[in-house]
Amino acid sequence: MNCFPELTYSIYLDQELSADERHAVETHLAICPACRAQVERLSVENRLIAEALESGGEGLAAVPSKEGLGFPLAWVLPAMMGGIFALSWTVRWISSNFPVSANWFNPFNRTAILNFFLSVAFFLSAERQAIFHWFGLAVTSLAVGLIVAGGIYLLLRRWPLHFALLGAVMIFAGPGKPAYAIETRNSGQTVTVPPSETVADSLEAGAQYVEIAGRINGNLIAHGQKITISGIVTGDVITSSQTLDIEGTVQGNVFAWGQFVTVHGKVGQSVHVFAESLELANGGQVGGDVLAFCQTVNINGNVNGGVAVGAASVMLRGDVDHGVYASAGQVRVASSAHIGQNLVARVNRTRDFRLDPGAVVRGKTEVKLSGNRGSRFLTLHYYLWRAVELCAVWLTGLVLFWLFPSLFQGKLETSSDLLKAIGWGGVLLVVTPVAVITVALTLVGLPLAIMALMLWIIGLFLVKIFVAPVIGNRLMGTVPGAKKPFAVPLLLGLVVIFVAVALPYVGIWDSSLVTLTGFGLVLSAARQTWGRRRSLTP
Amino acid sequence: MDAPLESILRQAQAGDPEAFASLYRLFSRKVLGLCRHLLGTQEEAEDAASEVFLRAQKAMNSYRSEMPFPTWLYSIASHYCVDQLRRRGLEGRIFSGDQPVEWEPPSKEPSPLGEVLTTERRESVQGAVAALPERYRLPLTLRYYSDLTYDQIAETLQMPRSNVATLIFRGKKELRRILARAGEEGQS
Ligand SMILES: [Zn+2]
Repeated sequence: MNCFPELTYSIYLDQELSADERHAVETHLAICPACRAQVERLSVENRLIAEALESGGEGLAAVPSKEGLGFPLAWVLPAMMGGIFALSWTVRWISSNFPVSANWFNPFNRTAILNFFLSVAFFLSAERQAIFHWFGLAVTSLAVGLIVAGGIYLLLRRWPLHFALLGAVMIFAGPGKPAYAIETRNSGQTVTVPPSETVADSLEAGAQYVEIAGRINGNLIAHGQKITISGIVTGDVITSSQTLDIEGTVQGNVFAWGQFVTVHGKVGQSVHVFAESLELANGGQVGGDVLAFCQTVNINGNVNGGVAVGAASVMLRGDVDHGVYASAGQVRVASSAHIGQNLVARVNRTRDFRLDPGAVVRGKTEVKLSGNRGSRFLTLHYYLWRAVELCAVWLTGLVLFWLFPSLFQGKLETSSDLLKAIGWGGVLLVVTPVAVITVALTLVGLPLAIMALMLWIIGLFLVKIFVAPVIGNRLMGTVPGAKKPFAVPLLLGLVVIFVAVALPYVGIWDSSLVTLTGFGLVLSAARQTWGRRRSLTP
Repeated sequence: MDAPLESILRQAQAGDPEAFASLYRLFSRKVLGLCRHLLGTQEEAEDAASEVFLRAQKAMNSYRSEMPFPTWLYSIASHYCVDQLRRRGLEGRIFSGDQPVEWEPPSKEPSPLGEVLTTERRESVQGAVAALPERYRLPLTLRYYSDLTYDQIAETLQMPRSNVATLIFRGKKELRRILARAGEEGQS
């Protein structure tokens, strides 16, 4: 007998066969009981599917896709080996093509990595307070940024246009100066502007050693291991390097990122530094302000503006015409120091601040203790700051929900959900830093590790957004599955969380609980989304 | 199609908001269900359903009675939802429309649900349908929920008609597999 394949019967039942085919099938069915039975079962199946779809009610999204996890080992092993091979090949390629000028930052240079991580760890431990303060600011700016971006998005619902416009904005907002005025010099070993030479435009230089002994009529943008400026730069200096030495004159601002920054000469405007150490040497002069985020800061020269630094240790020996704000592990103002206005030192204990006899402070000297919690509930500033933070987090949450609603699909309906979320949260909380350090030391390296670390730290700060709507919905008694208002429960939940973590003694536990749960919720949402996406790939 | 629906349709086409409101009452549940099956979440489905009715209202004049009204409406809904899905960036993967879907030779596979279901509860079928990968769930939903023809489905999903038949059939087999696995897990 010529039985047809099951597919044909499926099409037959869907009444999609051509007349001839249908005729052939019906002729066969008339004489073949086996196929008749098969068609009968298929038709029952069709009806069941239709019924299931018809009554397929509420929690469609909540149905966990089990297939996602059950991939066979036979696939995993070759895939992993392939992955490792590809990764090691990439690593080799990157390391052999790494620009010499950035070698001090090479992820495969172990000393550099260890150095960097020690610095970061040290910095984190010394600057907890400041960092959280900055994060508050960062979140506020993030919220504002997201709102602006959201507005643009609303204006241009079409993606290509949207990106084109954003791209254009970034191009115009980014470098500030038109590109044609920049001369570029890149070389492996050394880029030198000898004393006799004058560069008419801005200069962009990249090499292991960059030496500017001549004159640059414009900005200097340089990256390298060691950058020395003994000549004159009439514009700004923007550098990323292990060492930056300014022995000559910079008439504009200095923006430096690196390990050691030393100013022996003159800077006409302000100095902004993010580095391991900043030294304004005796005889050095800064016409504007000094803003630094470093491990150690030594101000031995003159500053015509003010000084604001966050550091592990700050030493002040020189003259500062305006005020000084130092948030640091240790602050010492030596007897030779002269401060034109107020001195504010934020330290952990009184003994971490030392004002030597002979030092002159024209304004007030104020020592703030970061560890001191006693009276914070009494200050208006505290409540204002919390309110600002609450609004920022709330707005961020709204925008996040609007952009990525799927991030919020984690559910906490039973206590076992809660325990699970806390468990996974804990895993994520511990695994991430370990993974980050491992990756930084062994594989593709630093950039990846830094990104992950940033995400993790931002996560620490933002996870309350994911817990808040759950709490809010619970408090408002919103039925799960029904169309949920989001903004109000989010705000309500955030208020609850803000109060809970501010409570004395239990606050720290509340905060850990919220963090763990939040990470768990995000992870479960990510797993759901990922699972669904995965199932799409053929 | 019954007579009252026809008269409602005529009135709606003449721009009577009352008539359109009754169309909404008649079909909103079904459209919402379709959107939910296609998009996966309640929230998105609700947004999509209201958008679909807006579009339907605007397009009322282009409706011709050769096609049953529900089919017309569901095809608007499925176009919209599929569009949304594409916009999510999943396009290349679900609807790799051009290359033909290979027909797999039969192997030792679970038999049609007709048999399996003697022991299975109905909800598990619902769960299994929801757990189907999108590339199967879409055609199955369009066929058995919205009663669209293969041609209409092919046009909506932008794939050859022959792929529709194969995807629907493969979807059923996937469904059987999910249910069989769930059955095993339930027993062990
Ligand atoms: Zn037969």
